[in-house]
Amino acid sequence: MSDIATGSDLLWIARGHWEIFIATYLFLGGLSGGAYLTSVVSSEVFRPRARGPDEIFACEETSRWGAIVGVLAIAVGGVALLSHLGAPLRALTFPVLFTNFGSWLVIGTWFIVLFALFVTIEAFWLLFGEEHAGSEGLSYVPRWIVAWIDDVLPLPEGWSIVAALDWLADRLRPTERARRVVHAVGSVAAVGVIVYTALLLTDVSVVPLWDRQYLPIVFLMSGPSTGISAALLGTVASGGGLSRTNHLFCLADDALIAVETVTLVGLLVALSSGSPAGEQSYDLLVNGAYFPHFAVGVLALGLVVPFGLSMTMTGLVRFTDIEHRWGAAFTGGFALKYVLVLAGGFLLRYTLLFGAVKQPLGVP
Amino acid sequence: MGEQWGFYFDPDSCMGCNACSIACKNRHDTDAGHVDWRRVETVSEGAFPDYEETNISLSCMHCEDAPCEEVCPTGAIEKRESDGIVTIDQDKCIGCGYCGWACPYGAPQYGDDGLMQKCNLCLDKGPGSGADAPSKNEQQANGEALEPACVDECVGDALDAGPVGELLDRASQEAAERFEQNRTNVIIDSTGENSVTGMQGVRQATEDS
Repeated sequence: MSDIATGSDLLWIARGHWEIFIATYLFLGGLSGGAYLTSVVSSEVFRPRARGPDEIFACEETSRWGAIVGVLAIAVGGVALLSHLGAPLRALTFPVLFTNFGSWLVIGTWFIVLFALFVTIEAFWLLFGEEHAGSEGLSYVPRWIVAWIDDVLPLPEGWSIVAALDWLADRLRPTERARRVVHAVGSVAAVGVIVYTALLLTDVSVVPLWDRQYLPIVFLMSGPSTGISAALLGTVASGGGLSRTNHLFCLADDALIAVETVTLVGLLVALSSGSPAGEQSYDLLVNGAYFPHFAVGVLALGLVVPFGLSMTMTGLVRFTDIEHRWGAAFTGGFALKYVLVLAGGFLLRYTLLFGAVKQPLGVP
Repeated sequence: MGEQWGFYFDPDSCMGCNACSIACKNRHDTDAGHVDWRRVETVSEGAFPDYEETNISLSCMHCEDAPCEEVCPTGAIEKRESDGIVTIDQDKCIGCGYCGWACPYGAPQYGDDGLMQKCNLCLDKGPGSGADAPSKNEQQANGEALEPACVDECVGDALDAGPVGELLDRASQEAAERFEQNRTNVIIDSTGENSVTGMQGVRQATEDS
């Protein structure tokens, strides 16, 4: 910890044992939960109110991208989580081994398992079934991959994995009302995954950066913000950049970014006038080794610039018709905003881990 | 609960020779380098010519409310009822590192196998051992208790270990009072003769530091 100034009469304790894999996992966990919530909101709120085929297409693309991103993120995040463990195979016996239900690691593991189940089922229903056969849209990539496997594998005549999955999806598809219940329970699990990652950190009372008052709010904003960005990046790639769905989600994302920025500033103020380790974390993030990652990467490029970009584009859309004449520029602008939010979301978790300083021991 | 065991440490008698940490490594055959169940830290104060250093021999504090135990997902870490020693059962450890963050003293260490190990107050020999060992009180009664290696090898008699009640008999009134206020199960004794202000106990630095 050479970048920590040593104060006299204070004994600084070496930082812990979490590195880049855990930062990756914390990022992907929040992103996954947020992407699922984006998918559910698009299906339950925006899709029923959609006007015209283009808007319906954009809503359905967002729903599918949200679910696909959710599955991929929780899968890759899970691998990142396991890969940092000393005994990863032992951890897979968690239903038996994880007995301390007072630990957020145990509570979070069950949130992850429950959530992974729901997001996988959601993606399955949104991609497979007779109604999706022959449908257009970039989000059908997983379906195309399965169809390609169908072609490559030497299956007997009349056999098809896609057809089998379509058949299974139709048999498992619930009624509209039951689907809403599934979405509600899945959303609770998604919020659980988003928030528990913050509570996991804040349970460590000797790291002031992991503040119990501010950090859960930051994660609760950042998770859905990155989830929206990842899902809508897919929608933009599918050609829905100028859709009302994109505009609404983009505005929702702006609100999340605004609250997250204010909360992060509150955290910085609290750190700067608090304990010795809090001041050290503040210096690392704002003046020291992690200034480029936090002040520039998170605050400026991950929050302020995307917010400003979005507000500018929203104003132009609202008061001019420039959007239709400069469609490609707007599509690129939205894509840039979402990429910046995603990069900022990752750097946030990275700096929260690498800027963590333990309270020193006082030796007066 | 059986009588609580703990350490006694007198920084005024510690010369910072590291015999305690080397003895600990030798007895438990812990990995060379980054694994230190016991380590000696030096805290400086003042500027030349009024400059003083205080040596602190630090290991697991066997805390009364061990934060490492509270966060451990598998229950591998246990604050033993029988003698108050905090042990790790490596057969249950998944190597998540959560306890490493939760401990204020940096006591949990990770070996090349990625599993946590820490001071077991010489209940037994070897990394991760001692979780199933009989109570230290029972071992003592049977004449089987290992004298902690760090205590055995301490050149200046700065370290001692035993039932806390016995250790308090050796401690000064001031140290005993400090211990009662902050029961980390390490009694820090200091007369202040060897340092500018005297070491009044290892405590968590707070906002008023």
